[in-house]
Amino acid sequence: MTSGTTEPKELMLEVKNLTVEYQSDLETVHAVNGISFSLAKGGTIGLVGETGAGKTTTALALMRLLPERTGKIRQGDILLNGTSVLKSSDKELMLLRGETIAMIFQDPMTSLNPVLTIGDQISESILLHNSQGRTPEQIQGRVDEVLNMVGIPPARKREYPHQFSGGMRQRVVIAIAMACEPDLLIADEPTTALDVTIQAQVLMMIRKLRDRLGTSLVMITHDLGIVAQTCDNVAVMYAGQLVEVGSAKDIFNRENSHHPYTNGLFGSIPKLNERVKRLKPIPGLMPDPTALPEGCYFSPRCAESANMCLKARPEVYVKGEHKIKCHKMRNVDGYVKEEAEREEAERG
Amino acid sequence: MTEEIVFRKQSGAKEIWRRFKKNKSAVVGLVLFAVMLVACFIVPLLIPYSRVTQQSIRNKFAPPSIEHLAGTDHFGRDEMARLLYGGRMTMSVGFLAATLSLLVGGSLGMLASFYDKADNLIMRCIDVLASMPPVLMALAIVSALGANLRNVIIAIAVSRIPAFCRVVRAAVLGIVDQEYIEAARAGGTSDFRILTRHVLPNCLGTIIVQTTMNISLLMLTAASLSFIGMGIQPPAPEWGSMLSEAREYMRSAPLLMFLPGIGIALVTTELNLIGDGLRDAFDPRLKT
Amino acid sequence: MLKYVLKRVLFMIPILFGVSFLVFAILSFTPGDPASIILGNGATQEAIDQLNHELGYDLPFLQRYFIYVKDIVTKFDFGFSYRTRLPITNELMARLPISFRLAFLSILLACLFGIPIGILTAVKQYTILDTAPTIVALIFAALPTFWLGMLLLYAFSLKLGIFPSYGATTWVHFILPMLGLGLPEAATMMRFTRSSMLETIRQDYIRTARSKGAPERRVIWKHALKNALIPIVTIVGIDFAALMGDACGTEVLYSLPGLCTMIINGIRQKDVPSVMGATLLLTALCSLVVLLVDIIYAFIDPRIKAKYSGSRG
Repeated sequence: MTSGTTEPKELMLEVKNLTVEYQSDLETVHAVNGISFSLAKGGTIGLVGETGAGKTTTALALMRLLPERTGKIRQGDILLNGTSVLKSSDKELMLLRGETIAMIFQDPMTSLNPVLTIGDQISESILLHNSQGRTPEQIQGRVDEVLNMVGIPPARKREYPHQFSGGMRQRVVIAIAMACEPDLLIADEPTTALDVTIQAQVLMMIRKLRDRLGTSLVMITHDLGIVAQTCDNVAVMYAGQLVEVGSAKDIFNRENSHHPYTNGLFGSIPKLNERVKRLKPIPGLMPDPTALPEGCYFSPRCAESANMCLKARPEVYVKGEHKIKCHKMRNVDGYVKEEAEREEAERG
Repeated sequence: MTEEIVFRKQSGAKEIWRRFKKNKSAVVGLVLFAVMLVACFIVPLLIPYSRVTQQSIRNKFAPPSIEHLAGTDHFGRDEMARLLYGGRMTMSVGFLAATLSLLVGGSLGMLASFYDKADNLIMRCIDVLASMPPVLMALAIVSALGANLRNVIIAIAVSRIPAFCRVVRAAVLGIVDQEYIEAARAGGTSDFRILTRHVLPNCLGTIIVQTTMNISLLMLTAASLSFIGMGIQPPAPEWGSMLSEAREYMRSAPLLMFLPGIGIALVTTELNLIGDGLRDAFDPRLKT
Repeated sequence: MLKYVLKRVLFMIPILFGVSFLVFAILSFTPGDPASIILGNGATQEAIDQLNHELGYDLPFLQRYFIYVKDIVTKFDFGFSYRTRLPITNELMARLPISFRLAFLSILLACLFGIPIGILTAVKQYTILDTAPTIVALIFAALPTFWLGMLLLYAFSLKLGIFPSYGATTWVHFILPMLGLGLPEAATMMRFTRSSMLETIRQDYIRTARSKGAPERRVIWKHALKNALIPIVTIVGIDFAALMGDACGTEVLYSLPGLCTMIINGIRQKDVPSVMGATLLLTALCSLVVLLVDIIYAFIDPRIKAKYSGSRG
């Protein structure tokens, strides 16, 4: 695992204050509320959180695949290789999707078109981004190559999705995403729908592919174990906000200060090397995204919540790369308000 | 416990009503439908039935006037009275037949979905029934039983049984497979209780929507039976038979042909709008 | 695939037996015996009994049914008419093409208009190209076919004099009946296609296609259309059967000598064999169309195709 980067690296992805809402005629769902993070070329960031935290919405926003009428990006910007995805035209987007940025979808049972052969579905993105001018034979050759890469015999490319098991279908979904060797891969809970044994295989495969091709990876998951295995940076998401961002080292080091929600997440998984009488689940539920609480979004469930947490939105406190969005951090040594730090940087 | 369930059901109905109200075309359909219901079921109470049958040959094909709002027909009978009474007849036949068809077809569907042994037998019989075009089946039944109001209702109800049976069976099967039914069974709940407590409330939406849609289909079937002279018999007014009579005088009195047809088209459109609205209200997922 | 076709054909046989038995049973309830109908009011009881015996009407119900079916299966003989004493089979064969032409033209019209417009409205949802056709379809779907037929007759035959108002001698005679029967069906088909298409566009695999950078046109035509068409194909089969029945009003209105008018006349004249023959033939025709549609369906949907082609699945 690479250590916290000190030398400036080129950024693959930069998300600035992204805000996404789902607008129906009855209500507004505040799915993503001003998140910012960045990802270096070749880096991996894990987006962690409970179901409904806004992880998939973030992923879809990155690809501009939100439902057209209801899903609205209200604020912020997404820079891919330094160019804004939000300002791209439809044509530019089509060029980006598949070739520069690709996505592995969550549910392999519904993500594949039932009436097209898997070969057709894999070759499609190669065909669509055929700037090298490959011949049909070369495209088929590439399909075979990709299928081999994900461990499916190329002879099966003439079969339809229903002829594959769940794990095999997820491999197909991965093959589709990897077909054009994208620069940035978004994996949205790629293993949730799979058996535990298959999960490990699929994860291993994604890691191998990333290492071999130097792909940058956004790994979306609710499983901290997966994050520990694959990611060098972690962003913890809660109710559409990033409550804690940092390197894997920062996050997994229990000596560090953490956001109470992150602590809660760690409290609800068993440890092998410690004697714990009982796992501690986080009490309560995620707030209703149509009616978010006034103060800190986590305050209704937070054991450490104080008066101020109920009233004021917390600031982000920074130490190095480690960022925490919590009121209690104002008294912790070494952590500075993000804004103060930025001003200082601007002055200097 | 009981109170809690009742409370939940009420809030469900309220929620559905709230979503239904948001749908403009469905509300328009509902309002228009209510107006037509009042016109055809309340107003006739104020008009003596004699206006429907009283002939006046001297006054036939009279244009609309204060006395005869829609003019008179080929026997000099008041067209407006006939339209209103006729509408009552067409709609009643539709409602009654839909209810009958729902009761018989729905029970069969529920039996089939709930008892594996009955399923095969019932569904094969339904396959046979369904392979006959509905209007033809209704015709055959009417011809065997004789054309009168009761038999027409029975005939068109039977012709729609396969549709109701299949819909209810599919809806119930979707629920019976759920784990909470398994849980209730494991807990020793009786089949009857499972059916009334868990299954029925959960497939009520589908059934209501399908029934609404089918009322209009059944009304159309009733009207076409009357139109070909195999349904409600004259002189009883019914929109289909009125159209059949008006056909002879198309050249001289086209108004007689327009009005009952507009009546049928309006009611079916309204019912379709209400049905669409209910479908979206019951299952907001489907709304786009 | 052959296995599937064979299975479907075999499945049709018990259905046809069931339907013939059902129709036979229902029509046996018709009051009156054939001899009294044939001989009229003045006949003596002996003459009636004698003729009923000759016709085999004094045999038990099941035996009569058996003989009836046997004659159809072995000799393609549907008996003879009580009224004209002529063989039913000849009349059926003369009328079949008219009914079939009417139903076929109408369903063709419905598909040609309903499906493309339905796709268009779904793709252009929330624009005027969606709302305008949707409203028109809403109205047309609610029109009784026989009334629309009357309106067309009034406008194009009586007022404008473009089309003939009765008869079935040339193809021009079929235009108005086809429109009257086909337009409401086209509207129904459009509504169905629209919702099927909208449902398909919402599926996850459509998002997958977009994520590959597929342009909108490709997403619609390559990914959505085939999936959306699968349920539409079944509807075409079911509606064809319904159309056959709805054709009654249209045949009466335009005096088309089809199978429906044969049934109606048969009922009026208590000519049970005519009613039975025509009903059976129409039902058989519907079953055949449904069978055909099921086979087409299996070709479109790889899930069914694979199940019967012997490969893994």
